[in-house]
Amino acid sequence: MKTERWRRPVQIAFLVLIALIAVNHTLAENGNPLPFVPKASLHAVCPFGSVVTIYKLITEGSFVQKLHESSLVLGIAVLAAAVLLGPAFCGWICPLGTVQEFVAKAGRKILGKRYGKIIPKKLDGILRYLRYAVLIWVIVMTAISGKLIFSDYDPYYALFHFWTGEVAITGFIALGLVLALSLIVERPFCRYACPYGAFLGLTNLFRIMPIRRNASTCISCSKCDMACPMGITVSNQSTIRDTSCISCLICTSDAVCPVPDTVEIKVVPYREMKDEK
Amino acid sequence: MKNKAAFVAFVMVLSLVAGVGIAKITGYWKTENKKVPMKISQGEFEGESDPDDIRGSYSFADIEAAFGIPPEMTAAAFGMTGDDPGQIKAKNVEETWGEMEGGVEVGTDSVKLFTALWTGLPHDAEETTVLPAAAVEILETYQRIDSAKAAELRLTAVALPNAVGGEAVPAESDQSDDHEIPDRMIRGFTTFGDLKGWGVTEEMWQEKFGESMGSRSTSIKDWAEDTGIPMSEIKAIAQVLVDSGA
Repeated sequence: MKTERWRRPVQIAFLVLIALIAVNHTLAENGNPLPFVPKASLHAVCPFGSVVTIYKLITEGSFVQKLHESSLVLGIAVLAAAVLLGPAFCGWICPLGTVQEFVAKAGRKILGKRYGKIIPKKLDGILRYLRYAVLIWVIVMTAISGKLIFSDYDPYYALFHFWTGEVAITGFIALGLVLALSLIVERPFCRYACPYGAFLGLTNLFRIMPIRRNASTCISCSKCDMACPMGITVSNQSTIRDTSCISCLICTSDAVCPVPDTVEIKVVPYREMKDEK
Repeated sequence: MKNKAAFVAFVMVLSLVAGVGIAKITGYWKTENKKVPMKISQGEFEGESDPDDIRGSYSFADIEAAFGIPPEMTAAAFGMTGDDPGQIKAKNVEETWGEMEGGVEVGTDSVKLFTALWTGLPHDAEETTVLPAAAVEILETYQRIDSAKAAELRLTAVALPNAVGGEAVPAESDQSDDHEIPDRMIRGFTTFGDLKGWGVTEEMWQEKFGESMGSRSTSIKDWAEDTGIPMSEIKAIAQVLVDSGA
Protein backbone atom coordinates (compact mmCIF):
# COMPACT_ATOMS: atom_id res chain seq x y z
CA MET A 1 0.00 0.00 0.00
CA LYS A 2 1.80 3.04 -1.30
CA THR A 3 -0.32 5.39 0.77
CA GLU A 4 0.47 3.86 4.13
CA ARG A 5 4.18 3.63 3.28
CA TRP A 6 4.17 7.41 3.19
CA ARG A 7 1.46 8.26 5.69
CA ARG A 8 2.63 6.14 8.63
CA PRO A 9 6.18 7.54 8.81
CA VAL A 10 4.82 11.10 8.63
CA GLN A 11 2.29 10.36 11.38
CA ILE A 12 4.86 8.72 13.62
CA ALA A 13 7.39 11.48 13.03
CA PHE A 14 4.91 14.15 14.16
CA LEU A 15 3.72 12.03 17.09
CA VAL A 16 7.30 11.70 18.31
CA LEU A 17 8.02 15.39 17.66
CA ILE A 18 4.99 16.58 19.64
CA ALA A 19 5.72 14.14 22.48
CA LEU A 20 9.31 15.41 22.64
CA ILE A 21 8.20 19.04 22.65
CA ALA A 22 5.69 18.36 25.43
CA VAL A 23 8.26 16.55 27.58
CA ASN A 24 10.93 19.14 26.86
CA HIS A 25 8.64 21.96 27.94
CA THR A 26 8.37 20.32 31.35
CA LEU A 27 12.13 19.74 31.46
CA ALA A 28 12.76 23.36 30.47
CA GLU A 29 10.50 24.61 33.27
CA ASN A 30 12.66 22.58 35.64
CA GLY A 31 15.80 24.02 34.13
CA ASN A 32 16.98 20.89 32.28
CA PRO A 33 15.84 21.16 28.65
CA LEU A 34 16.97 18.69 26.00
CA PRO A 35 19.29 20.19 23.39
CA PHE A 36 17.95 20.59 19.83
CA VAL A 37 14.31 20.20 20.91
CA PRO A 38 12.00 23.24 21.01
CA LYS A 39 11.10 24.39 24.51
CA ALA A 40 7.72 25.66 23.37
CA SER A 41 4.53 24.73 25.15
CA LEU A 42 2.04 22.44 23.45
CA HIS A 43 -0.35 25.38 23.11
CA ALA A 44 2.30 27.29 21.19
CA VAL A 45 2.58 24.58 18.52
CA CYS A 46 -1.13 23.79 18.17
CA PRO A 47 -2.64 25.32 15.03
CA PHE A 48 -6.13 25.20 16.55
CA GLY A 49 -5.00 28.13 18.70
CA SER A 50 -5.30 30.31 15.61
CA VAL A 51 -9.03 29.54 15.46
CA VAL A 52 -9.87 30.05 19.12
CA THR A 53 -7.92 33.29 19.39
CA ILE A 54 -9.40 34.82 16.26
CA TYR A 55 -11.94 36.99 18.14
CA LYS A 56 -9.34 38.43 20.50
CA LEU A 57 -6.87 38.89 17.67
CA ILE A 58 -9.36 40.89 15.62
CA THR A 59 -10.84 42.94 18.44
CA GLU A 60 -7.78 43.53 20.63
CA GLY A 61 -4.82 42.63 18.43
CA SER A 62 -3.55 40.16 21.02
CA PHE A 63 -3.68 36.45 21.71
CA VAL A 64 -5.67 34.45 24.20
CA GLN A 65 -3.58 33.53 27.24
CA LYS A 66 -0.99 30.81 26.53
CA LEU A 67 -1.24 31.31 22.75
CA HIS A 68 1.38 33.04 20.67
CA GLU A 69 2.24 34.09 17.13
CA SER A 70 3.40 30.51 16.43
CA SER A 71 -0.19 29.23 16.69
CA LEU A 72 -1.30 31.72 14.06
CA VAL A 73 1.58 30.80 11.75
CA LEU A 74 0.83 27.08 12.00
CA GLY A 75 -2.90 27.71 11.63
CA ILE A 76 -2.36 29.64 8.40
CA ALA A 77 0.00 26.94 7.03
CA VAL A 78 -2.48 24.17 7.82
CA LEU A 79 -5.38 26.15 6.37
CA ALA A 80 -3.44 26.84 3.17
CA ALA A 81 -2.70 23.13 2.79
CA ALA A 82 -6.36 22.35 3.52
CA VAL A 83 -7.59 24.63 0.75
CA LEU A 84 -5.53 22.48 -1.61
CA LEU A 85 -5.87 19.01 -0.07
CA GLY A 86 -8.64 19.21 2.50
CA PRO A 87 -8.01 18.32 6.17
CA ALA A 88 -4.87 16.28 5.45
CA PHE A 89 -3.58 17.66 8.74
CA CYS A 90 -6.08 15.37 10.49
CA GLY A 91 -5.18 12.30 8.44
CA TRP A 92 -1.43 12.82 8.26
CA ILE A 93 -0.20 15.02 11.11
CA CYS A 94 -2.49 15.16 14.16
CA PRO A 95 -0.93 12.93 16.87
CA LEU A 96 -4.29 12.26 18.55
CA GLY A 97 -5.61 10.92 15.25
CA THR A 98 -2.55 8.67 15.03
CA VAL A 99 -3.05 7.37 18.57
CA GLN A 100 -6.72 6.65 17.84
CA GLU A 101 -5.67 4.68 14.76
CA PHE A 102 -3.24 2.62 16.83
CA VAL A 103 -5.95 1.82 19.38
CA ALA A 104 -8.31 0.97 16.52
CA LYS A 105 -5.93 -1.81 15.45
CA ALA A 106 -6.49 -3.45 18.84
CA GLY A 107 -10.23 -2.89 18.49
CA ARG A 108 -10.28 -4.64 15.14
CA LYS A 109 -8.50 -7.62 16.62
CA ILE A 110 -10.98 -7.81 19.47
CA LEU A 111 -14.20 -7.20 17.53
CA GLY A 112 -13.27 -8.55 14.11
CA LYS A 113 -15.95 -7.75 11.52
CA ARG A 114 -18.15 -6.10 14.12
CA TYR A 115 -15.59 -3.28 14.45
CA GLY A 116 -17.08 0.05 13.42
CA LYS A 117 -20.59 -1.39 13.19
CA ILE A 118 -21.66 -1.18 16.82
CA ILE A 119 -22.84 2.42 16.62
CA PRO A 120 -25.96 2.50 14.39
CA LYS A 121 -25.45 4.41 11.16
CA LYS A 122 -28.31 6.79 11.91
CA LEU A 123 -26.94 7.67 15.33
CA ASP A 124 -23.46 8.02 13.83
CA GLY A 125 -24.87 10.50 11.32
CA ILE A 126 -26.53 12.58 14.02
CA LEU A 127 -23.49 12.52 16.33
CA ARG A 128 -21.31 13.93 13.57
CA TYR A 129 -23.02 17.30 13.98
CA LEU A 130 -21.82 17.41 17.57
CA ARG A 131 -18.36 18.62 16.63
CA TYR A 132 -19.81 21.77 15.09
CA ALA A 133 -21.59 22.50 18.37
CA VAL A 134 -18.25 21.95 20.13
CA LEU A 135 -16.51 24.30 17.67
CA ILE A 136 -19.05 27.08 18.21
CA TRP A 137 -19.00 26.59 21.98
CA VAL A 138 -15.20 26.73 22.10
CA ILE A 139 -14.95 29.87 19.98
CA VAL A 140 -17.73 31.71 21.86
CA MET A 141 -16.58 30.72 25.35
CA THR A 142 -12.95 31.52 24.57
CA ALA A 143 -14.01 34.93 23.25
CA ILE A 144 -16.05 35.60 26.40
CA SER A 145 -13.54 34.32 28.93
CA GLY A 146 -10.27 35.15 27.17
CA LYS A 147 -9.00 31.78 28.38
CA LEU A 148 -8.37 28.42 26.74
CA ILE A 149 -11.47 26.83 28.18
CA PHE A 150 -11.25 23.76 25.92
CA SER A 151 -7.99 22.58 27.46
CA ASP A 152 -9.96 21.29 30.47
CA TYR A 153 -11.87 18.93 28.14
CA ASP A 154 -9.24 18.34 25.49
CA PRO A 155 -8.05 14.72 25.21
CA TYR A 156 -5.08 15.87 23.13
CA TYR A 157 -3.93 18.16 25.93
CA ALA A 158 -4.51 15.40 28.50
CA LEU A 159 -2.53 12.88 26.43
CA PHE A 160 0.57 15.07 26.23
CA HIS A 161 0.32 16.63 29.71
CA PHE A 162 -0.79 13.76 31.90
CA TRP A 163 2.42 13.96 33.95
CA THR A 164 2.26 17.69 34.67
CA GLY A 165 -0.57 17.87 37.19
CA GLU A 166 -2.15 20.58 35.00
CA VAL A 167 -4.79 18.34 33.40
CA ALA A 168 -8.33 18.71 34.72
CA ILE A 169 -10.22 15.54 35.64
CA THR A 170 -12.58 16.29 32.74
CA GLY A 171 -9.58 16.12 30.39
CA PHE A 172 -8.66 12.66 31.68
CA ILE A 173 -12.28 11.54 31.33
CA ALA A 174 -12.35 12.83 27.74
CA LEU A 175 -9.09 11.02 26.94
CA GLY A 176 -10.32 7.80 28.52
CA LEU A 177 -13.58 8.00 26.57
CA VAL A 178 -11.78 8.62 23.29
CA LEU A 179 -9.39 5.70 23.79
CA ALA A 180 -12.22 3.39 24.90
CA LEU A 181 -14.45 4.39 22.00
CA SER A 182 -11.54 3.86 19.60
CA LEU A 183 -11.88 0.19 20.45
CA ILE A 184 -15.32 0.09 18.80
CA VAL A 185 -15.22 2.82 16.16
CA GLU A 186 -12.37 4.44 14.27
CA ARG A 187 -11.35 8.02 15.18
CA PRO A 188 -14.30 8.74 17.52
CA PHE A 189 -12.93 12.13 18.59
CA CYS A 190 -12.40 13.19 14.97
CA ARG A 191 -15.91 12.06 14.01
CA TYR A 192 -17.92 13.45 16.89
CA ALA A 193 -16.10 16.00 18.97
CA CYS A 194 -12.99 17.56 17.43
CA PRO A 195 -13.58 21.30 16.93
CA TYR A 196 -10.50 21.72 14.75
CA GLY A 197 -11.56 18.81 12.57
CA ALA A 198 -14.96 20.46 12.24
CA PHE A 199 -13.30 23.69 11.14
CA LEU A 200 -10.86 22.10 8.69
CA GLY A 201 -13.58 19.73 7.43
CA LEU A 202 -15.37 22.69 5.89
CA THR A 203 -12.54 22.96 3.34
CA ASN A 204 -13.81 19.70 1.84
CA LEU A 205 -16.64 21.72 0.37
CA PHE A 206 -14.31 23.74 -1.86
CA ARG A 207 -10.84 22.13 -1.77
CA ILE A 208 -8.91 22.28 -5.01
CA MET A 209 -7.89 18.61 -4.96
CA PRO A 210 -10.75 16.46 -3.65
CA ILE A 211 -10.95 12.66 -3.70
CA ARG A 212 -12.69 11.66 -6.95
CA ARG A 213 -14.19 8.37 -8.07
CA ASN A 214 -14.23 7.47 -11.74
CA ALA A 215 -17.68 5.91 -12.12
CA SER A 216 -16.86 4.45 -15.54
CA THR A 217 -14.08 2.21 -14.18
CA CYS A 218 -15.48 1.60 -10.68
CA ILE A 219 -16.53 -2.03 -10.13
CA SER A 220 -18.63 -1.14 -7.03
CA CYS A 221 -16.75 -3.51 -4.79
CA SER A 222 -17.22 -1.05 -1.87
CA LYS A 223 -13.69 -1.65 -0.59
CA CYS A 224 -13.27 2.12 -0.36
CA ASP A 225 -16.34 2.37 1.89
CA MET A 226 -15.12 -0.37 4.19
CA ALA A 227 -11.64 1.10 4.46
CA CYS A 228 -12.58 4.73 5.13
CA PRO A 229 -11.64 5.51 8.75
CA MET A 230 -14.28 8.22 8.89
CA GLY A 231 -17.06 5.92 7.64
CA ILE A 232 -17.76 7.85 4.46
CA THR A 233 -19.57 6.05 1.64
CA VAL A 234 -17.23 6.75 -1.24
CA SER A 235 -18.68 4.29 -3.75
CA ASN A 236 -21.79 6.30 -4.61
CA GLN A 237 -20.14 9.68 -5.14
CA SER A 238 -18.11 11.07 -7.99
CA THR A 239 -16.40 13.78 -5.89
CA ILE A 240 -16.09 13.42 -2.12
CA ARG A 241 -17.31 16.65 -0.56
CA ASP A 242 -18.17 15.07 2.78
CA THR A 243 -16.93 17.38 5.57
CA SER A 244 -15.70 14.32 7.51
CA CYS A 245 -13.06 13.39 4.90
CA ILE A 246 -9.52 13.64 6.35
CA SER A 247 -7.60 13.07 3.09
CA CYS A 248 -5.86 9.98 4.41
CA LEU A 249 -6.01 8.52 0.87
CA ILE A 250 -6.78 5.03 2.22
CA CYS A 251 -9.74 4.75 -0.19
CA THR A 252 -7.70 5.55 -3.29
CA SER A 253 -6.31 3.31 -6.00
CA ASP A 254 -2.91 3.74 -4.37
CA ALA A 255 -4.31 1.87 -1.39
CA VAL A 256 -7.47 -0.29 -1.21
CA CYS A 257 -9.22 0.37 -4.54
CA PRO A 258 -8.34 -2.58 -6.79
CA VAL A 259 -8.81 -0.70 -10.07
CA PRO A 260 -6.01 1.69 -11.10
CA ASP A 261 -6.86 5.37 -11.53
CA THR A 262 -10.39 4.95 -10.19
CA VAL A 263 -10.38 6.61 -6.77
CA GLU A 264 -7.83 9.41 -6.73
CA ILE A 265 -7.02 12.75 -5.24
CA LYS A 266 -6.92 15.17 -8.13
CA VAL A 267 -7.58 18.72 -9.17
CA VAL A 268 -11.13 19.61 -10.10
CA PRO A 269 -11.20 22.12 -12.95
CA TYR A 270 -13.12 25.26 -11.98
CA ARG A 271 -15.85 24.54 -14.59
CA GLU A 272 -16.51 21.12 -13.10
CA MET A 273 -16.51 22.55 -9.60
CA LYS A 274 -19.32 24.87 -10.64
CA ASP A 275 -21.20 21.92 -12.16
CA GLU A 276 -20.92 20.06 -8.84
CA LYS A 277 -23.12 22.74 -7.37
CA MET B 1 1.74 12.79 -10.84
CA LYS B 2 2.01 9.08 -10.11
CA ASN B 3 2.58 8.92 -6.38
CA LYS B 4 -0.22 10.92 -4.78
CA ALA B 5 0.66 9.84 -1.24
CA ALA B 6 4.19 11.19 -1.63
CA PHE B 7 2.72 14.40 -2.99
CA VAL B 8 0.40 14.84 0.00
CA ALA B 9 3.22 14.03 2.43
CA PHE B 10 5.44 16.56 0.68
CA VAL B 11 2.80 19.31 0.67
CA MET B 12 1.92 18.82 4.34
CA VAL B 13 5.50 18.82 5.57
CA LEU B 14 6.46 21.65 3.22
CA SER B 15 3.55 23.86 4.30
CA LEU B 16 4.53 23.54 7.96
CA VAL B 17 8.28 23.85 7.42
CA ALA B 18 7.85 26.78 5.03
CA GLY B 19 5.37 28.48 7.36
CA VAL B 20 7.69 28.18 10.36
CA GLY B 21 10.75 29.08 8.25
CA ILE B 22 9.22 32.24 6.82
CA ALA B 23 7.94 33.26 10.26
CA LYS B 24 11.40 32.75 11.74
CA ILE B 25 13.11 34.73 8.99
CA THR B 26 10.66 37.62 9.40
CA GLY B 27 10.94 37.48 13.19
CA TYR B 28 7.24 36.64 13.64
CA TRP B 29 7.82 33.16 15.10
CA LYS B 30 7.23 33.45 18.83
CA THR B 31 6.39 30.52 21.08
CA GLU B 32 6.31 32.45 24.32
CA ASN B 33 5.25 35.91 25.24
CA LYS B 34 7.64 38.68 26.12
CA LYS B 35 6.44 38.74 29.72
CA VAL B 36 5.55 42.36 29.23
CA PRO B 37 1.93 43.18 29.98
CA MET B 38 -0.06 45.25 27.54
CA LYS B 39 -0.48 48.93 28.13
CA ILE B 40 -3.81 50.37 29.18
CA SER B 41 -5.16 51.86 25.97
CA GLN B 42 -7.55 54.52 27.23
CA GLY B 43 -8.74 56.51 30.17
CA GLU B 44 -6.93 58.02 33.11
CA PHE B 45 -4.20 55.38 33.12
CA GLU B 46 -3.56 55.25 29.39
CA GLY B 47 -0.02 54.09 28.64
CA GLU B 48 0.50 52.37 31.99
CA SER B 49 1.15 48.63 32.16
CA ASP B 50 -2.10 46.74 32.71
CA PRO B 51 -2.19 44.49 35.81
CA ASP B 52 -5.09 42.69 34.15
CA ASP B 53 -2.64 41.30 31.59
CA ILE B 54 -0.36 39.58 34.10
CA ARG B 55 -0.19 35.90 33.09
CA GLY B 56 0.45 32.87 35.22
CA SER B 57 3.83 32.48 33.51
CA TYR B 58 5.02 35.91 34.69
CA SER B 59 7.69 35.70 37.34
CA PHE B 60 7.83 38.17 40.21
CA ALA B 61 10.89 39.62 38.46
CA ASP B 62 8.74 40.20 35.34
CA ILE B 63 6.19 41.94 37.56
CA GLU B 64 8.93 44.08 39.07
CA ALA B 65 10.13 45.07 35.61
CA ALA B 66 6.64 46.13 34.58
CA PHE B 67 5.26 47.54 37.82
CA GLY B 68 8.23 48.24 40.05
CA ILE B 69 7.19 45.92 42.88
CA PRO B 70 10.25 44.25 44.45
CA PRO B 71 9.96 40.45 44.13
CA GLU B 72 10.66 40.05 47.84
CA MET B 73 7.59 42.15 48.56
CA THR B 74 5.33 40.09 46.28
CA ALA B 75 6.76 36.88 47.68
CA ALA B 76 6.13 38.02 51.25
CA ALA B 77 2.60 39.11 50.37
CA PHE B 78 1.76 35.64 49.08
CA GLY B 79 3.67 33.60 51.61
CA MET B 80 6.16 32.34 49.07
CA THR B 81 9.84 31.88 49.72
CA GLY B 82 12.67 30.50 47.65
CA ASP B 83 16.31 31.07 46.88
CA ASP B 84 15.37 33.64 44.28
CA PRO B 85 11.97 35.31 44.79
CA GLY B 86 12.31 36.84 41.34
CA GLN B 87 11.95 33.39 39.78
CA ILE B 88 8.64 32.59 41.51
CA LYS B 89 5.81 32.72 38.98
CA ALA B 90 2.28 33.97 39.47
CA LYS B 91 1.01 30.49 38.66
CA ASN B 92 3.12 29.11 41.54
CA VAL B 93 0.91 31.12 43.87
CA GLU B 94 -2.12 29.43 42.34
CA GLU B 95 -0.48 26.01 42.52
CA THR B 96 0.53 26.54 46.15
CA TRP B 97 -2.69 28.04 47.49
CA GLY B 98 -5.41 27.94 44.81
CA GLU B 99 -8.96 27.31 45.95
CA MET B 100 -9.41 27.69 49.68
CA GLU B 101 -12.08 27.10 52.26
CA GLY B 102 -15.25 29.06 51.54
CA GLY B 103 -14.85 28.83 47.78
CA VAL B 104 -12.40 31.73 47.63
CA GLU B 105 -9.16 31.59 45.66
CA VAL B 106 -5.61 32.88 46.09
CA GLY B 107 -4.04 32.61 42.65
CA THR B 108 -2.90 34.55 39.62
CA ASP B 109 -5.84 36.93 39.89
CA SER B 110 -4.81 37.71 43.47
CA VAL B 111 -1.37 38.67 42.17
CA LYS B 112 -3.05 40.96 39.64
CA LEU B 113 -5.15 42.50 42.40
CA PHE B 114 -2.14 43.01 44.65
CA THR B 115 -0.24 44.62 41.78
CA ALA B 116 -3.17 46.88 40.95
CA LEU B 117 -3.53 48.01 44.56
CA TRP B 118 0.23 48.56 44.90
CA THR B 119 0.41 50.70 41.80
CA GLY B 120 -2.99 52.37 42.03
CA LEU B 121 -3.93 50.95 38.66
CA PRO B 122 -7.36 49.45 37.87
CA HIS B 123 -8.20 45.75 37.94
CA ASP B 124 -11.60 44.08 38.18
CA ALA B 125 -10.88 41.02 40.28
CA GLU B 126 -13.07 37.97 40.02
CA GLU B 127 -15.67 37.55 42.74
CA THR B 128 -13.89 34.62 44.34
CA THR B 129 -10.46 36.28 44.34
CA VAL B 130 -9.08 37.24 47.73
CA LEU B 131 -5.74 38.42 49.10
CA PRO B 132 -3.74 36.82 51.87
CA ALA B 133 -3.85 38.77 55.13
CA ALA B 134 -0.11 39.41 54.76
CA ALA B 135 -0.69 41.11 51.42
CA VAL B 136 -3.22 43.48 52.97
CA GLU B 137 -0.78 44.24 55.78
CA ILE B 138 1.97 45.06 53.30
CA LEU B 139 -0.28 47.25 51.18
CA GLU B 140 -1.41 49.21 54.21
CA THR B 141 2.02 49.39 55.84
CA TYR B 142 3.55 50.76 52.67
CA GLN B 143 0.64 53.19 52.34
CA ARG B 144 -0.56 51.78 49.05
CA ILE B 145 -4.11 51.66 50.37
CA ASP B 146 -5.84 53.67 53.06
CA SER B 147 -7.14 52.15 56.27
CA ALA B 148 -10.72 52.04 54.96
CA LYS B 149 -9.67 49.98 51.96
CA ALA B 150 -7.52 47.77 54.17
CA ALA B 151 -10.49 47.14 56.45
CA GLU B 152 -12.62 46.25 53.43
CA LEU B 153 -9.99 43.83 52.13
CA ARG B 154 -9.57 42.24 55.58
CA LEU B 155 -13.21 41.16 55.49
CA THR B 156 -12.32 38.58 52.83
CA ALA B 157 -8.57 38.16 53.32
CA VAL B 158 -7.34 34.71 54.27
CA ALA B 159 -4.62 33.66 56.63
CA LEU B 160 -2.46 31.29 54.65
CA PRO B 161 -1.93 27.89 56.20
CA ASN B 162 1.58 26.56 56.55
CA ALA B 163 2.69 25.10 53.25
CA VAL B 164 3.53 21.40 53.38
CA GLY B 165 6.63 20.42 51.46
CA GLY B 166 7.51 21.94 48.08
CA GLU B 167 9.60 25.00 47.56
CA ALA B 168 7.02 27.50 48.67
CA VAL B 169 6.37 27.98 52.34
CA PRO B 170 4.80 30.88 54.14
CA ALA B 171 7.20 33.75 54.45
CA GLU B 172 8.32 34.78 57.89
CA SER B 173 6.78 38.17 57.41
CA ASP B 174 3.44 36.37 57.41
CA GLN B 175 3.87 35.39 60.95
CA SER B 176 5.09 38.72 62.18
CA ASP B 177 2.88 41.49 63.47
CA ASP B 178 5.57 44.10 63.95
CA HIS B 179 6.06 45.38 60.40
CA GLU B 180 8.41 48.29 60.10
CA ILE B 181 6.80 51.51 59.09
CA PRO B 182 8.33 52.58 55.77
CA ASP B 183 10.81 55.40 56.15
CA ARG B 184 10.24 56.96 52.75
CA MET B 185 13.83 56.17 51.96
CA ILE B 186 14.66 56.45 48.26
CA ARG B 187 15.95 53.17 46.86
CA GLY B 188 16.56 51.88 43.37
CA PHE B 189 13.21 50.14 43.20
CA THR B 190 11.29 53.20 44.39
CA THR B 191 8.81 54.04 41.66
CA PHE B 192 7.40 57.35 40.50
CA GLY B 193 4.12 56.09 41.93
CA ASP B 194 5.87 56.02 45.31
CA LEU B 195 7.25 59.52 44.83
CA LYS B 196 3.86 60.92 43.85
CA GLY B 197 2.32 59.23 46.86
CA TRP B 198 4.95 60.90 49.02
CA GLY B 199 4.06 64.33 47.70
CA VAL B 200 6.58 64.85 44.90
CA THR B 201 4.92 66.64 42.01
CA GLU B 202 5.77 66.80 38.32
CA GLU B 203 6.71 70.48 38.66
CA MET B 204 9.08 69.84 41.57
CA TRP B 205 10.74 67.02 39.64
CA GLN B 206 11.12 68.99 36.41
CA GLU B 207 12.55 71.95 38.25
CA LYS B 208 15.29 69.79 39.73
CA PHE B 209 16.09 67.47 36.84
CA GLY B 210 14.78 69.23 33.71
CA GLU B 211 13.07 65.98 32.73
CA SER B 212 9.53 64.65 33.12
CA MET B 213 8.81 62.02 35.73
CA GLY B 214 8.45 58.46 34.51
CA SER B 215 5.21 56.50 34.60
CA ARG B 216 3.87 55.45 38.00
CA SER B 217 5.35 51.98 37.61
CA THR B 218 8.79 53.10 36.43
CA SER B 219 11.48 52.73 39.05
CA ILE B 220 13.93 55.56 39.52
CA LYS B 221 16.72 53.11 38.74
CA ASP B 222 15.25 52.52 35.28
CA TRP B 223 14.67 56.24 34.87
CA ALA B 224 18.30 56.89 35.79
CA GLU B 225 19.46 54.45 33.14
CA ASP B 226 17.16 56.02 30.53
CA THR B 227 18.21 59.59 31.27
CA GLY B 228 21.85 59.00 32.07
CA ILE B 229 21.57 61.00 35.29
CA PRO B 230 23.68 59.37 38.05
CA MET B 231 21.61 57.33 40.45
CA SER B 232 23.40 58.82 43.45
CA GLU B 233 22.39 62.30 42.34
CA ILE B 234 18.78 61.28 41.79
CA LYS B 235 18.59 59.55 45.16
CA ALA B 236 19.97 62.53 47.00
CA ILE B 237 17.75 65.12 45.33
CA ALA B 238 14.65 62.92 45.39
CA GLN B 239 15.17 62.33 49.10
CA VAL B 240 15.22 66.07 49.69
CA LEU B 241 12.02 66.46 47.67
CA VAL B 242 10.32 63.68 49.59
CA ASP B 243 11.44 65.01 52.95
CA SER B 244 10.34 68.54 52.08
CA GLY B 245 6.94 67.30 50.91
CA ALA B 246 6.36 65.06 53.90
